[in-house]
Parts: sequence; C-alpha cells; structure tokens
Amino acid sequence: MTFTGKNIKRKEDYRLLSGNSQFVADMQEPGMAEALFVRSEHAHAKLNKIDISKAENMGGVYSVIIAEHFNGEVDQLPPHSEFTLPQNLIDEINPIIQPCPEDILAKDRVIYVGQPIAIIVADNRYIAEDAAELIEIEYESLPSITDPYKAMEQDVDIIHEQMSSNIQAQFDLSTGNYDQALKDSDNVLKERIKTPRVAANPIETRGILSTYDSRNGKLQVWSSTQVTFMVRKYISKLLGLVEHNVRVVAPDVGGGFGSKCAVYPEEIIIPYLSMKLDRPVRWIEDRMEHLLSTRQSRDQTHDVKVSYNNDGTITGIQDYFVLDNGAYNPLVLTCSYNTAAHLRGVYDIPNFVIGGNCVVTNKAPTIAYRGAGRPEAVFVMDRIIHLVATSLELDPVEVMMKNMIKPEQLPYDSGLIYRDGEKVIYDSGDYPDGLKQALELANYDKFRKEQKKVKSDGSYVGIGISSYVEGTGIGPHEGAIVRLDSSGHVMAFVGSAPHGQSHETTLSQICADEFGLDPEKVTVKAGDTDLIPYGVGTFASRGAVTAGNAVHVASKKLQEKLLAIAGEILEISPSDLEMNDGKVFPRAMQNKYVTLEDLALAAKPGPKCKVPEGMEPGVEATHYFVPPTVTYSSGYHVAIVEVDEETGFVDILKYYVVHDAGKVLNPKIVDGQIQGGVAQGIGAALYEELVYDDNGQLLTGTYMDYLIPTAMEIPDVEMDHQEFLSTRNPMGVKGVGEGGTISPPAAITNAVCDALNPLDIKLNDLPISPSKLRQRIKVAKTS
Amino acid sequence: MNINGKEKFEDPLEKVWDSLHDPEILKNIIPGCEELNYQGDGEYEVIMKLGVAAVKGEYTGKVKLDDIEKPYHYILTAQGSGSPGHVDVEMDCKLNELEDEGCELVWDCQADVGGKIAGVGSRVLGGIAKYMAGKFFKDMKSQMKAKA
Repeated sequence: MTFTGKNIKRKEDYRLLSGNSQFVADMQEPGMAEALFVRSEHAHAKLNKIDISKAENMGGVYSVIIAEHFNGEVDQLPPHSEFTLPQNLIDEINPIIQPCPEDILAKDRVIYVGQPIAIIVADNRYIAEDAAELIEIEYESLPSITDPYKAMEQDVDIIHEQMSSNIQAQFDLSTGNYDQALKDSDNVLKERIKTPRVAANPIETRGILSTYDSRNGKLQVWSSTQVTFMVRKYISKLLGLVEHNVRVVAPDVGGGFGSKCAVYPEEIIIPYLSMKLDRPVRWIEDRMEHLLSTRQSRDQTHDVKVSYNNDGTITGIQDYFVLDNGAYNPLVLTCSYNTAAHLRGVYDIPNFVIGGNCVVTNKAPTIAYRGAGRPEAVFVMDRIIHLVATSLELDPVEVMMKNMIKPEQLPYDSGLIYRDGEKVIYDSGDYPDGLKQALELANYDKFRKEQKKVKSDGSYVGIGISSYVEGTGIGPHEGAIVRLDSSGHVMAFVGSAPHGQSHETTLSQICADEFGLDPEKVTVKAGDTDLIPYGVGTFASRGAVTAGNAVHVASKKLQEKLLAIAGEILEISPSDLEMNDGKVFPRAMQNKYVTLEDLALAAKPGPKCKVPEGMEPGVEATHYFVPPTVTYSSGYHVAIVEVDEETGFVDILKYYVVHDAGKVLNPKIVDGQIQGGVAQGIGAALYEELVYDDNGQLLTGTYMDYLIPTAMEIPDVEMDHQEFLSTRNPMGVKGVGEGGTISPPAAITNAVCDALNPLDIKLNDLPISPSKLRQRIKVAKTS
Repeated sequence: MNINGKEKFEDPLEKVWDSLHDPEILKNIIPGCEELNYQGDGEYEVIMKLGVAAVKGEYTGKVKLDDIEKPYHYILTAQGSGSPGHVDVEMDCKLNELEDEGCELVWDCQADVGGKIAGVGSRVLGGIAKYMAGKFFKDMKSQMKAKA
C-alpha cells in the first residue's frame, strides 16, 4: 500500500484545532521580559533629539535602547545574499544593483513610517506601552518621496546617501526581435497596468522570543519565520556569534505567505537584548504594527506595448515596469525578475522586451508575497489577452488558444534564463488541454449561450479566464535526515520551516511509502536549525519539491541500509528481502522476519553490531536534494461574476481552477492550498490596497480601511487537476503553494469587463472597489 | 488634507480680528485646549487633549499667528505632537467686510497628520475637522457676546 496520493488526515490538525499548538505568543520563559518598539511617525525626518530618560527611569523598565547604544556591537542588515542572482544571469541581464543595507534601529534619520527607532524592554507589555509614551522624539520633517516615478527623476533627493539615484536595482532583457515584430504586425496596443501595494496578513503576526545561556554561550531563538537558517546566519553574523551556538526554531507558525521570508531587524535586536540583559526577551508584533512595518509587496506599474495581428496572434510584447520597493529592498531582484521570467506564461510570444526598475521611496520596504512577482505578471498578460480579444471582437478563448504553447512544442525553451541560472524550459504539461478542462468544468459554452439572455434581461454577468505557468521548487537545496530510533519509529528531519503547509503529514506519507509503514509510525520534525546542518526554508512553492524529494531519497537510502542489515541477520541476500509494516522478511518466507526494532538494535556500534562491513554503524541516512532547476506548475482559473451596475459591487458567482502540480501527494492538502490561495487572490482583486498619502503616511492602518476578505466573500472553488509529472525530481512533484493566488485578479477583472461589455470599462488597476467601478461605469456611459 | 469654509459675523471686522488674537478667548474656544501660553511674537505654546476616532491623547505644540495685513489677513500655523501622532496645520484666514453689516471670515486650511492618527483616523478626520471648526466659531461668537 502506498500513502502518497491519498487523503491522509493532517497530523497537524489535532493540536491546531484543539488549542494545543504553540506559537511564539503562547511561550513563556522564567524571568521573561517583553519588548516594544517605538517606530517612526514620519516618512522622512531628521531625528534631532531622542529623550529616553523618563522612560528609562520608569519602574518595571529594564532597558531602553536606541541606535547609539549599540557601540558598534550590531552591524547593519544587508540585502539577503541568498537572493542574489547567479553569475550567468547577471552576465545576461546586466543588472545595476546599488548597496542598500538597513540600520537595525534608525540613527539620525528615519526614512519610512514604522521604522524602528527605540526599543523598550520591561516587565510586561503594559509597562512597555506606558514607557513608550514617555519617550520624546524631536523630528525635523523632511520632504518625502512616495511616487516611484518622481523618485526616478533627475533632480530629486536621494533617499540613501550611498546611492547615486533612487533606482536601487534595474535590469533589462529581451528575446527575439520586438521592433521587427512591431513593424510586421497589424495592430499595436499600449496600456499602463498596475498592481497595488498589498500586505500578506498572516493570521499570526511576527513574534520572537530569545533566551541566552551565558554558561554555555548558547542563544536560543524562537521566531515566527519561514527561514530559520537565514535568521540564524544573520544573527550569528551581525552579533558576531559562533553559528553553532545559535539555534533558531520556528514553532507553530500561523502563516507567512512571504512576509516572513526575510530576516527583520527585530530578529537581530531581540536576541541581542536577551544576551545584553541576560534574561529571556520576547516581542510580539501587534496588528497595527504589522500593517505598518512588516514587509509589504506587489506595487508594480507596467507600461506595455503589444503587437498583434488581426487573427489574434500576439507577435511581441514590450514592457517597462517599475516596482516601488519602499525604503529597502531585502530580496533585491527576486520579485521583479520573477515578473519578467513569468510574464508570457503559457503563451508562445517569440519577441519580448522587458525592463524593470526597483525604486526606493519613503514607504515600508517590500518583499515577496504569495506568487512573488507572478500575480503582477499574470495580471499584465491576461489583461493583454482580454484587451486584444476585445479590440478584435474575438472570444478571449480564441486568442488564448491561438497563442498557447502546444504540447508538441515541449520541452519549450522560452529564450530566458531563470532566477537560478538555468534556462527557462517548460518540461511537462499540456496547456491547451488544461484550458479546455477548465472551460468544461465551467460549462463555458453553455454560459456563453445563456449570458446573452441574462444580459438582455438587464443583469451584468460575465466570465473571465486567467492562466499561468509558475516556476516552483527553486533550489539551491533542501535536505532530510531519516533515522530509525530504538523503538522502531522512523524520524525524518528536514531543513524547511513549515507555516501551514502540512509538512508533518505529506513528508511522513513520502517516508512511509519507502518503508511500507503507516505514516503514523513516521514523525517529521522541521523548522529547527539544530535538526540538520543545512536548510533553506519554506517559500516559493518549494516544500514538496525540495524537502519532499530529500525525504524520498534519504528514506530510500535508509531502507536499503536496513535491508542490508537484515540480510546480515537473516543470512540472506538483501535483494531477496522485502520490507512491510515494520518487518523485513525474505520474499519467499514471510514468517521469518526481523522487526525495525531488531534492526535498530543491530545497528548500534559494538560487538553485537550487524551492520555489513564497509557501512557505518547506526540507522540514519541523509540526502540533500539539489534540483537541476525549477519545476513548472500551471493553472487555469475561470471566474463568473455579476456586477451591480448601481453600486459597483462585484459578486463572484462561481470560481473554477484546474491545476497541474505534477504528482499530487495528498489531494485534500493540494485542494486546500488552492482554495486558500484563491481567497488571497480574491482579496487582491476586489478589496486590498495599502494607501499612503503624499507625506508617506499609511492611511490604511487597520482592517477598517485595509479590507481583507472573510469566509463570507470567498466561494467554494470547484477544482480539477492535471497530473503531468515533473521531469526534474524523482517523485515528479511540482509546487502548489502559491498557484491559487496568482490568477484571481486577472480572471475576476476580465470577468467584470466581460460582464459590462459592450461598455468600454478601463480596469487595468486593482482592487476593483465598488466606488472605483461605479465611477468607471459612469465614465464609460457618458463617453 | 484640505478643508475650508466661510463664517459670517454680525460684529465689526476689527472686533472679530481682536477676538481671533485674544489668548483668553482662544483658550476657551480651541477644541480640547488645556493650556495656551503666549510666548511673544505672535507665538503660543499649547496643550490640547483630543480624540479622533479611536485615537485619543494629548498633544503639545506651538501655534503662531503671522499678521500679513492687519486686520484683513493672517496665517495661522500650528504644529503639535503627542502619543497619537502629529499634526501640522497651515490656515489662511481672510476677513472681509460685508456690505450691510458685520464681516466674513474666509478660511482655507491645509492639515497634515501623521502616525496613529493618520493610520487609524484619516477616514473620519475630515468630518471631525469640520465639526471642530463649526464648534470653534459657535463658541467664539458666544465668547464675544459674553465679553461684550
């Protein structure tokens, strides 16, 4: 019996649903103090004076720290070297990247609202909050830059003194001959297409607890992070500690979605304070603080020019885009390059020029958020499809099919290099068939027939489609150590750090299959730097591909070793042995068996050891899976909406997804990932936008103004799957974590435009708020 | 944020001008004003307690009156900060004599807010500011009556 591919119940759920989980905010350590950050109220200002004397002297306050107290003990936080590009890609796109390190606490100037200035450590949060009121900061307000286009102008102030302009990073690339395509084509379309700045809003905000054992010089940090190993590295580096002496654990983590896929200043300073004060220190971010200062995302503006022929063939795309990075850019070109590499998605458009500018402004910094540059790319591409179809009076499906990469074109070389330095070559899938499957699921033809009648009765119903190809499971590696313990139980340790992805369930299914064991007899441990020497983290739809295959191969290796030991005990060739249900037996004589417990005992070093010569004692195997490049998942989304012309409200009537995640490890978990992803995509389509005023003040500082959808707004997604195995890993899996989020903005916007057709509604920006849509309808009606 | 308005007074222009420059009157009519101390040169130090939406707290700051053209035109600038955030105001005030009697104050105010008050309160700020302006003038009129 195999367990992968089956709906095994999530092992994580009992503790999560019964209140037995442990998030950082649930943790207590003896003598623990609570920390609070005092953050900038100004987007750009000089810090003329910070008076902490009253706060310092308040009862119950242990320490108040500002930048000058570091005395050179804490270095600046550099952009993450983990996200720098490989040399061959650098040679190809010639990026300009300017250094942009981040002060842990603001020194003499603040450059965004929410930037940490001071930190108070007190007996409890109440005292710390009161002490914060006593800190007097004298700001001298300076002009702030909130518009990235203004930031790029010649004579404007440069936000970071060490940079020569506010364009922190820039790249260009092209394939084919766009200029020629433009000359040879029947039509050209020019549009500005925007995706606003949004926040990931995991249900658990950030949180850090640090304890320091001065006797052993050991620092133990619990952080709500996606990247424990990165956090460890930067703590060790910036605080000058032996890396081995730093242990970073992500306990139960309530979502990350990319917002916890970076190292934050808070993750450096809380450990620093726990050492300095020699007591456990904990910081739990509050929700307002989260909206203000946790890294945000998206915020791209694209100026596209598209050449196409009267039959719907898109011959070329030129796209210059700007990513407003805010004050810092920790992930450098990650999101912007993802956008470039993914823009054409499932389409065979040979002539392509794209250039991206990552611009620094006086807003909170941005990083990745579920999809990381891909929802932005897909919104651009699928708006293009819709606009081309509309201009030619064709059904969008016809334009999609006309331009789609055909199965016989696979492996398809897109002419670009991926972020990992390998060529973008789509290796498996059937894109037209995926679309067909989605259209059948949605009853597309039937809808089109009925739509005419419904519309003539005065209802505005429409259908919109979006598709994507997503590079998932990026390297460089993820490892697994699989070990049999003395009780005959299998343990698997991995370097990734789950925050809702069900590692404990799916990885135990993979492991169990190799041993012929029930997954209940396998325990997976993750999110702890002490488990395994090297780890990367959980992001970019990479868990199943990287950690999954690492577990798969390590389990295989251990299974082989166990058979070898059993062969010694039973005096029979391992090739004649079989393993099932915790026993190893000769295929021909199943009642003559040894148990896993026997094997664990026989593997112990010493005179009774039965490990064959040439093998080390012990029952453990390690494998680091290094993917040759990414796996290419794909997806097809169909939205059916009804627009209320009077109010501008959009009602999602139906939502369909067909997705190819390669081998499906656990169908329910895959479906859950898609359903949750779609929810966040709907948020981006209809509700979410972080709004800053011209002075860099965040105006959407609470959920009264920053709208996120609830269960009420999210339909049950109807799903179907393709299962084209990836050729790039032994199990054939592809990533699925982000897919659901990528397409909803495009599918829903296209559906809204379809519903209102023949009204010419300009909707190349998000979210489609009722007031905006109502206004656009008005404009379209009067023109 | 920009808000503006007009306010008619039955009293003669000079009297209105004087009232708008009278610390005793101002102290009683500035919303939430706890203290107003004249520092000379048209400048006051002020402590105010105000609530905007859920953001309540104390602000300390400076108010300055620049008389551009006495008694017709002055500019009020105010800066205040406190735990709820900070406020920066520049208010252009013009007094015009009316044909029949009395005068009219035409004001145009540019207010920038920052910190919590912007993040939480910005949605309701315009309404609150208008309400406060209305109350300011109503209280001013009754103060002027009381003084007369």
